[in-house]
Amino acid sequence: MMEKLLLYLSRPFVYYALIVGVLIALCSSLIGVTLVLKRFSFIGDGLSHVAFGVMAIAAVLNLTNDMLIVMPGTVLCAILLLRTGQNSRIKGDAAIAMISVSALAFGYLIMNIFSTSSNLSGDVCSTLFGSTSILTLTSTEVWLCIVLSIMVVLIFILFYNKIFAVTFDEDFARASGVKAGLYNLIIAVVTAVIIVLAMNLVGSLLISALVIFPALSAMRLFKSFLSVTVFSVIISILCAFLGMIISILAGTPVGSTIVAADAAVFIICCIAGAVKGGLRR
Amino acid sequence: MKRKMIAGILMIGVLTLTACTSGEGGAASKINAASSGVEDVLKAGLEEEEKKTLSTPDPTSTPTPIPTPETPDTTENNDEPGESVVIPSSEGVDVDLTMLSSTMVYSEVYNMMYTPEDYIGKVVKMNGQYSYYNDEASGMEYYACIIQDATACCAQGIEFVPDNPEACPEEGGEVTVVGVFDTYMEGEYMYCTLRNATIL
Repeated sequence: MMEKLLLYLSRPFVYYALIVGVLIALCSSLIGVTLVLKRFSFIGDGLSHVAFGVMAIAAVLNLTNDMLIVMPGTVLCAILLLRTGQNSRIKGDAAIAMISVSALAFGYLIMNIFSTSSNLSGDVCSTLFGSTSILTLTSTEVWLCIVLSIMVVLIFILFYNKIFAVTFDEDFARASGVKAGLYNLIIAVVTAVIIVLAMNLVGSLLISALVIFPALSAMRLFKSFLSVTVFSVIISILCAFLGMIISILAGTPVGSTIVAADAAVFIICCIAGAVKGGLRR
Repeated sequence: MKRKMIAGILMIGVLTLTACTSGEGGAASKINAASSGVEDVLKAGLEEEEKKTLSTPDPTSTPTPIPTPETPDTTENNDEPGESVVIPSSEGVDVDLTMLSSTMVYSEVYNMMYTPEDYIGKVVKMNGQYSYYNDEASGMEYYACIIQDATACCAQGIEFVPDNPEACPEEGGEVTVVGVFDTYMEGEYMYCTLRNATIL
């Protein structure tokens, strides 16, 4: 087993995948706590479906650099959902569901009607479940992911207090002079960037798991915002790393293996939380 | 004010960087690259064949190289995901794909298509689904070994030129091939093939 693992780890694309996987897990868990607390757990799913729809358009148009339209499209939808969701006539969850299914449906429709590839099922499967995208990264993509991850972490550290304030009580934050709109915009942009990056790792259908599971697992054991954030980062990185190693060794799909690891850790945290609560009483 | 400026700079940086990926960088383009393999070529060939009237194949035709998965011009590409590769195995095989898990084997073949220069001259052993196409118009024969990923939705294939074509299984059957990895140019595209391939 170890011999096999060492053999696999000698391949550059494997350690590229591990680096990017760990960084994506780190970023998604950082923003995950905020999104779960703001009752926007499903936004990851919604935005990833939007990204799928835009990606379908890019594929049909044969764009060499699909990021040129995927990223702005996803960021725009994130801003629309996170900034106007609270005050619009169609409320948050309904707006997410509406945009999510529409983008998914139109994306698949466009790919079917104007398909430029003979392997439509392969294209859809790769986008929805990630397939082996994470194991086919180039060095440029790895560097891009490293830089973006550093930026996301920097934004989170620099604006930790403001994000904390906006997350728990937006109205109070606004009343105390915090520019809630600006910080919601920052959260929206960062969320969209993470979602687009994470599509390589787990695909658009499984992204929500990366955002929700670590935060929820940490919330079973810890109560403060800081401790929940730190623990969710640790859980997320561990699950992503373990999931990728298991998937490489056992030949299972990468995305679903990572999500299965996240779900298993959530169950363990639930049991540990129950035991911890029982001991306190 | 300072924080707003920092936030602005970071946000612009994030958006600019994400839009600055290379041509092959995007997931959609990656998907297309991953799916444009031997299967595509064979499918296209079969479609053409259906359109044409049946003609007698040239009995003198010999196994000829076929367009395999399109790979980018390596002279212009600096984004190689891997360096020189040797996957150790027995029997003098440099790259033994039969030893790898299904997730790994698909990724390895993808990298072989993407950075063929790292594999040229290496003895490759692979196992997958056998595919054959005979272009009756040109008399060319096409042999390929198709490898699928763990979810069996994506496929990559490598063309091979068999020394013993009579040992080929039925279309769609399992085949194990050992051959020397090589590339060749046809038109504006570079193609990959296993030369002197032996069917085990």
